[in-house]
Amino acid sequence: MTTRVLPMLIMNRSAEMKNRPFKDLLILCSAILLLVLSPLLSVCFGAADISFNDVFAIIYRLLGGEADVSAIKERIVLELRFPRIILAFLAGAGLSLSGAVLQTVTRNPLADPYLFGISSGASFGAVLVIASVGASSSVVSITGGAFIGGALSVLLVVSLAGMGVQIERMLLAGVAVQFMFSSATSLVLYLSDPQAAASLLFWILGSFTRASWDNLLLPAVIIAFCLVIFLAFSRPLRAILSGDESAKALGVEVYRLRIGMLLLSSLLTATLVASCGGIGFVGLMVPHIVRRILLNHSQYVLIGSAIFGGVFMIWVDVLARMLLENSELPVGVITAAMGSMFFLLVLKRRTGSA
Amino acid sequence: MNRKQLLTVNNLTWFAQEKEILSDVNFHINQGEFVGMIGPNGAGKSSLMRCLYRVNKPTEGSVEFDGQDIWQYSAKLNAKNIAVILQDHTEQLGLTVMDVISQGLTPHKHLFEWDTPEDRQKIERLISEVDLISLRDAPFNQLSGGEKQRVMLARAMLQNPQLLIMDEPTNHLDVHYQVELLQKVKKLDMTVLASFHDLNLAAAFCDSILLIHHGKLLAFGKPEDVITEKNLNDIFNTKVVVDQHPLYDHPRITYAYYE
Amino acid sequence: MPGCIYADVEQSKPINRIIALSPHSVEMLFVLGAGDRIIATTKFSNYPPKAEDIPRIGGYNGIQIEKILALKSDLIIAWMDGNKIEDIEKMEKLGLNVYRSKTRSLDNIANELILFGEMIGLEDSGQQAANAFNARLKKIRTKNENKSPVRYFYQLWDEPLRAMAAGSWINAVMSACGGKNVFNNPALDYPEISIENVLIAAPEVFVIPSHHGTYTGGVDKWKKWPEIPAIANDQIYFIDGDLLHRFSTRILDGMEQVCIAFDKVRASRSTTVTNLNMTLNEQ
Repeated sequence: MTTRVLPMLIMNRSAEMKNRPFKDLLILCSAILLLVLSPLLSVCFGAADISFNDVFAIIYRLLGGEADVSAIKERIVLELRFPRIILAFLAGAGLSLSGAVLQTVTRNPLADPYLFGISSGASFGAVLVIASVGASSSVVSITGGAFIGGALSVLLVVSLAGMGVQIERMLLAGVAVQFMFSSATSLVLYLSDPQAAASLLFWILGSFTRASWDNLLLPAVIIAFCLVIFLAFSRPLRAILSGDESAKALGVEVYRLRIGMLLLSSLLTATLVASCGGIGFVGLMVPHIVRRILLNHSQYVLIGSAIFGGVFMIWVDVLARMLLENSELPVGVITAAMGSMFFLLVLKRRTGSA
Repeated sequence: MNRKQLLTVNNLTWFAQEKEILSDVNFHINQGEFVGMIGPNGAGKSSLMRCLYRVNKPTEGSVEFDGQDIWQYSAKLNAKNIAVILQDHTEQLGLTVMDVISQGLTPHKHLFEWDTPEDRQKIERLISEVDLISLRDAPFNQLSGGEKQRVMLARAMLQNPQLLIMDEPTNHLDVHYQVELLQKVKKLDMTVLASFHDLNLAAAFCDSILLIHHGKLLAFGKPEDVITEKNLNDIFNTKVVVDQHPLYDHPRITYAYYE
Repeated sequence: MPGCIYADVEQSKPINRIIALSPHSVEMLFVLGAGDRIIATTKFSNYPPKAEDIPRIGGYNGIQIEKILALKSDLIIAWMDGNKIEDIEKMEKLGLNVYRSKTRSLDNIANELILFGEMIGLEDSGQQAANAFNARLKKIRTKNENKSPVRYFYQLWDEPLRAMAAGSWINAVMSACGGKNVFNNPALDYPEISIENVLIAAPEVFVIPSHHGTYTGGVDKWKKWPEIPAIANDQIYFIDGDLLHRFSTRILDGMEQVCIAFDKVRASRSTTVTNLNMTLNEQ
């Protein structure tokens, strides 16, 4: 195989060498453009008819200028849409970050917060709080429930995986824990009456309708905190990609790092589940796509996943509020549909090239 | 010439799941030496090596680097002194040759330290030294066995250790690449410990040889002293003829294939 | 023999032991004076108060069919929206006398009363109750048919925010009082919505039903949006959900409460009302 691949590689290589700086610049510019334009453009979409001119005027007024725009439009944009966009960005960034780290630390391109049962644990915690306390339970207690559920699932995975924290055992444990919590959640749903069940479904399907300026701080802080730590450890993380033993030989404390990253990942995921319910597949798809785009820049995969994931989620949320006339589609439904298509594509590619 | 003892192994015994894998191993490696390790499969060569690069913790005894017990200081500090080239390379999740070589900087960098321009220059230089410039952005797992070993060698060189440990580095390689790798390594200013399956290679490149069998160190010395017909007959259970290589003054092992 | 197989609903045997698998059928049977014949029912059958004493054999998550068999009933009144279809089919396959109550339409209530009456040998009671129901319904409709339409938002659930839209049968209750649902999604009867959707819709009144006695969430989050006419004019009405979601004669009680509410809304119109649509369309 290599005798054929090698000459091909060398030929492609020389062509690539010439295009590479241009390609890098293109990627960088696209990223910045997306990051800046997405919030501005996406805020124009929604039930109310608000144009880009209106948005421009609103921002201008915000910066102290004078502009003519109706108060209600301003309120909708500033108090409903912007918080929602920010929450969507945070959720997309956080989940993608979590997925990227989990994939790296387990060397498994199919790892994501769902795989380790973190999301289902958090959902279960939230669902349990709502089911027992009632639909009027406070945000704090629901968040707390999600945290405890997420932490519990991590503890279970780690204890089931055993002392060595070997990847295969961890993945199997994660799948088992995920099934366990999913069925527990299903049980709770089953035992509640239909209207409460509909409410609980939110925690399983996800939505950004609850976004407001006062519930953005916690997710933002936690994501920033986790991002900083992930970036700090990006070098040892990339060392793990070449094997546990290889990483140990490079001085990396593999097991400690793995558990630490898993715990941090669960903190991140539980926070997001508590704010917007369970949203799947994002942590799986985004790092995949980003890795393909940033082929020669693996050190930027973490940041790239965060940015791309955040932007992606902003637009998914646009779909969530625009696809159905005058009503909302749960975000988790859209990501699940995209995720299954994505999976099929990946499978097709693999079986084609294998 | 008094060379310092770089690696000292004292009464090393190691158990794995209640089974004694290594018993009472004692030897030392001096700075600048190229030491080979030979022995049948399952003799404990890899396990012994893992004790030396701080993966297996000795059940009894100790391993000292430059006079200090390696378990007294962190894995990171040890990685500055000792680099390892393994025989198997796992799925890389899209890492390129450049990425893998850059891993060599891991023990030398703090948490937030990025690559400096000097680092990049160093890496470029190493890539050309192992003749991999044309493959620098190729995915690592698409390389041949020989190319992968050259990448790992460049990575080890970037790591810049005093001691290089190689676990059966020539196993999956064609003869040309086996010789090429060992020639390159021999030229480095590093102390080397490598395990071999091919006794002739061991005899050709090593200053001294460790003979391991059933977890015990049976012999340690110059190739001509360790690689003897008696030792080989007993340990490898095969008929051999050992004489001197016609071109150089190290032993040559010839196997008797027929009864 | 536990249950006899009957070709159709009418039977010659007296129906003395009835299992009513829904709160509404329990209420209807009591209206007909046959409440004492109910030997078992499901959770939430709470009206009239005597109904609380009837033993329960299940709820939304399923019914205990073995218990049903053991009870040796003469008639089982099931309900497509509230009982699991598998349970209903199983009972029918076992040869039990099962009647599938037809709900989902206001006008069916009277028909059901008649049908129940015929099934249990109280034809006169059934006819009487149906006539009374229809008369009262007609009275309410006539009284309200010329009044100006009231644009309402029916907040079915708080988290997630969910509306009862025009496709739902509950709409008929509101329409009888001259109400116009601001959500007329053709596709969804109970869509999940956002605050923005309600802002656009600009309802004059919020109707918030209770669920099994509790009201979900408060109106605090709505207080931030005086742009909504209903909020600005404090036209928020809480009504017992059992009176609006239950397919029984008491739905007319709920209807009357809604009509009273809507009248209050009409009366409050003379005061300041911010017309959201105007401000949104001006540029």
